[in-house]
Amino acid sequence: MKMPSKIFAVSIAFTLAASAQDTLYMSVLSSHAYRIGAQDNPIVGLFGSADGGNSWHHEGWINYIRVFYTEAASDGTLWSACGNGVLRSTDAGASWKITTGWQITEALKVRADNSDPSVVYAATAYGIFKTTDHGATWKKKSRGLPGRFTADVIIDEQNHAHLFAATEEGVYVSRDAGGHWMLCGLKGKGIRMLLQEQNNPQTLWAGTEDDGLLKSENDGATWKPMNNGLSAKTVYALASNPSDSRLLFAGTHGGGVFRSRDGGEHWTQQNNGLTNLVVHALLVLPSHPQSVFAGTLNGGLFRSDDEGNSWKFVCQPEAQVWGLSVR
Amino acid sequence: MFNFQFSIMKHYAGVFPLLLIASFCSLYSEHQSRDEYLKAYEQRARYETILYDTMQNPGIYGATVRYAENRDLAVADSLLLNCSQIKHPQGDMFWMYPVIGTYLHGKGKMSAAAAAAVRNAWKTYAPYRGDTENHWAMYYASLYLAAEQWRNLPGSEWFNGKSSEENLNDAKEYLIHWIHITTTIGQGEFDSPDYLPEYMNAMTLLAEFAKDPAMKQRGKMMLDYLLADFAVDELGGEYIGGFSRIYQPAVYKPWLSGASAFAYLYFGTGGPVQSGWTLLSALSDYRLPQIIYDIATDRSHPFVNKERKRIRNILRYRKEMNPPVYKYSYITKDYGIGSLQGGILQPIQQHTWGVRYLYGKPTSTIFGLHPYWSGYELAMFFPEERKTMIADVVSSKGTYNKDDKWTSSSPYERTFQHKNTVIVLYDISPGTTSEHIDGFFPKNLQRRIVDPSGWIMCKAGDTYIGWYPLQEYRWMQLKDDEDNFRLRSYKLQNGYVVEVRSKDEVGSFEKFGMMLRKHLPTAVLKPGAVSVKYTTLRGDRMFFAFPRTRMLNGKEVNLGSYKLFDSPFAHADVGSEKLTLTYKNRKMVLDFKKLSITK
Repeated sequence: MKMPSKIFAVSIAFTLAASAQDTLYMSVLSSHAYRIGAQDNPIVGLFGSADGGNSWHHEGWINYIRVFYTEAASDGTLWSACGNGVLRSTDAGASWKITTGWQITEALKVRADNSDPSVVYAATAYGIFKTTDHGATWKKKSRGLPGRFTADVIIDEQNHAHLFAATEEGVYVSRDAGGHWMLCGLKGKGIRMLLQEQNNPQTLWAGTEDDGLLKSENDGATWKPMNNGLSAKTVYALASNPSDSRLLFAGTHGGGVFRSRDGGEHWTQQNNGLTNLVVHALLVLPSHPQSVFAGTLNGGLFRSDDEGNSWKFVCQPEAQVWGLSVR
Repeated sequence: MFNFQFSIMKHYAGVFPLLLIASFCSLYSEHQSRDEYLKAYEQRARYETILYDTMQNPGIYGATVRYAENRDLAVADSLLLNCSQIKHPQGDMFWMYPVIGTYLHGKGKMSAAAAAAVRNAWKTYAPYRGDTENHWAMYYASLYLAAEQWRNLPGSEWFNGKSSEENLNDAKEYLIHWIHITTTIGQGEFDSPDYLPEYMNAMTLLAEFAKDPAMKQRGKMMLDYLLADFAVDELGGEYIGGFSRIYQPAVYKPWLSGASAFAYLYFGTGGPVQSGWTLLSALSDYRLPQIIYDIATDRSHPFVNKERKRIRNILRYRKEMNPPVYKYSYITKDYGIGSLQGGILQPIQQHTWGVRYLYGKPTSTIFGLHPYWSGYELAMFFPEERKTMIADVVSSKGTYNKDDKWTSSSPYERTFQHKNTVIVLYDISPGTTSEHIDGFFPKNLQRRIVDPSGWIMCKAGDTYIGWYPLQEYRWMQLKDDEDNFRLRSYKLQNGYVVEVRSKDEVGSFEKFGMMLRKHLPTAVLKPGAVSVKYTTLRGDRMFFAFPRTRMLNGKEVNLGSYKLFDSPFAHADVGSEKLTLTYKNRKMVLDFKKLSITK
């Protein structure tokens, strides 16, 4: 689909120098500001920023599509997990294609394999699906999963045939690129997100529906709660500082943002200026790691330039910023 | 659920708000021969279309009618080019079907500019697929027809980046899948007075315009199927509950539902209704088979209709994606009473049981419910976060988290129906949303007597309703209820027995009251142990223990044995893909495996 020429930009008064390498993507699912029949309804969907989050441009599908998460693959392809399925753009968002058929919808996360960008996984409300041909065809890869709903899937950076899935019944692992799944840990817990530490890939984090954060330092073999000071126990997002893996940020339901400077041993609430405390997405700017972005559900996008000490509203008032990513 | 566009377009039929109830007379047409029926049908169809000749701003359907009737083509072109659907597309699948329907009626008649505008809209406007079954029916039926029209175009010429062939195949696969599951395990968004129109429009367009003969046949057969499903549950132009989905206030003003417009058009029942919903049907060549008309309009003998449907796709918290729904209805010439088994069968708009009758339209119903809401319920069916979903739903369906709402599923509610007797039990967990149950009683009842026996005795014309509350209650009259009566009981272990009879069945209202006084239920109402014993006015012994023990005359009732359809008029086995309709010595078989209609 070719996008109309109308471009929506949000300029914000930040003057930080941004690396040209950092392209940020913000997936805006919907907006409570939507008014029935209004002609001036807010534009939702995918927004991108090539200047470190100083300005944001609508990059995606112009009409309502329910974008949950967008990721840029190593070959530059944009993949969006949407209500309508998995969308692909090979021209930086100028045009899009729904690569999936009617069976694959309510896609919540999409993950491209960094070593082979033709391989992409989608975590959906109907299970996990995989393409090995850049979206030309998709196959269901849910054998062994406990149910349909899968909130997240991540690819082990040490071994790309190893995958971890966030399900309603715990963390599941596949050792054969999605061919089979088995329980990894946290049986019975609703898992909302997974994170593998970049600098320490043996370490996995799981954000849960009701049990806070849990950490595994042995590739998922054992897990321990990391909730000291984490007063909100629903964790939707976790971000680590790329230059200091002990500096972590957790996005929670109702508790806003929590920060840990000791690798998750202790957490403190950091909500100065954050006017919406349902934080569904977090992103530390790689080129300027003091800067952190927080996507809220129904409060829009916020930004901190002092490691979470204070926050300022950026854009998309009343919107559900479901996902943030960077390439 | 979350696309706020849907709710407005739902009511506006993608065109404009239009629902005229011209008259409340003629609730039932006389039984007609085929010739009489067809003649009367043409008059009703004309009644649906003529409105668009006189409206000052008829919008896209003004063009549709003119194209279909091959007249005023310049006017039609102008109406099309200036309608909101072309100038400012919005509404997703509610945009898709009127636009492709209008194009197909106008093909070969419309100007090149008008045709180009429609084609361009399918390139530049990207409709959302939606998140419910009616959305998908409209989306894929419309997409199928569009892809058939514009073959061999690359993805760059389509809103979704897919080529014509990819769109055609995707839409075809979905439609075949939907028809298959509907005719094997039942419709998910079943018996919905407010959503029947969406399916009717989607299937009407397929039946009318699909180039592929097989798909055209599927469309026609699904029209027969949908209308047969309606016909066996219909009285006086209204669906008999329970329902998967219905809006307020239509739940207590049944006439307001879109299904009534189709009842008028196809069955001649109810009163004349002009509605944008029925326009595409009124313009189509589809004609209702006589046997379905006969089934819909013959209420000379009371009958039981049992159906099996399915729960819409469950995404989480349950292993089975589409567990069964069991519906039981009892229908006479004066009233119908029907129920689903209870529990969470649909989020948000479920109507579990109710009595509807001919007297007192439009407020011609009595029903009860436990008003329940929860993030768990929503998260079962929608992919967003459990803890934020209630607020999201309320932003478009404002009654969802209200104690006083009139549509709801509840995990704490179960029913047991035998003929014209319904027992409803509740075992409500403390602390849940709404620690009370409600009953709806119209203010226009001729009698509403609280008898010393405990029975509430109601008279609605020739229909008599007895309601025996198992716990103490009080009456309320709320402005939001339009001053109708609300029975409210705050006991968590609760329930009631409802008996319905007509003047024909028992004679006078006073006699009905005397009968009720001799039939008092006995109940156990403790947490985790809620049960009732009751002998009906017919003398049948019912024992019901929450949630699932149902005994009739000493034998357990096995809901699992329900067929897709089981009544004197309709029969379909689970998994059969075949519906057999019978009326007197006539029979019609819809065989979806063979794509054949046998009469």
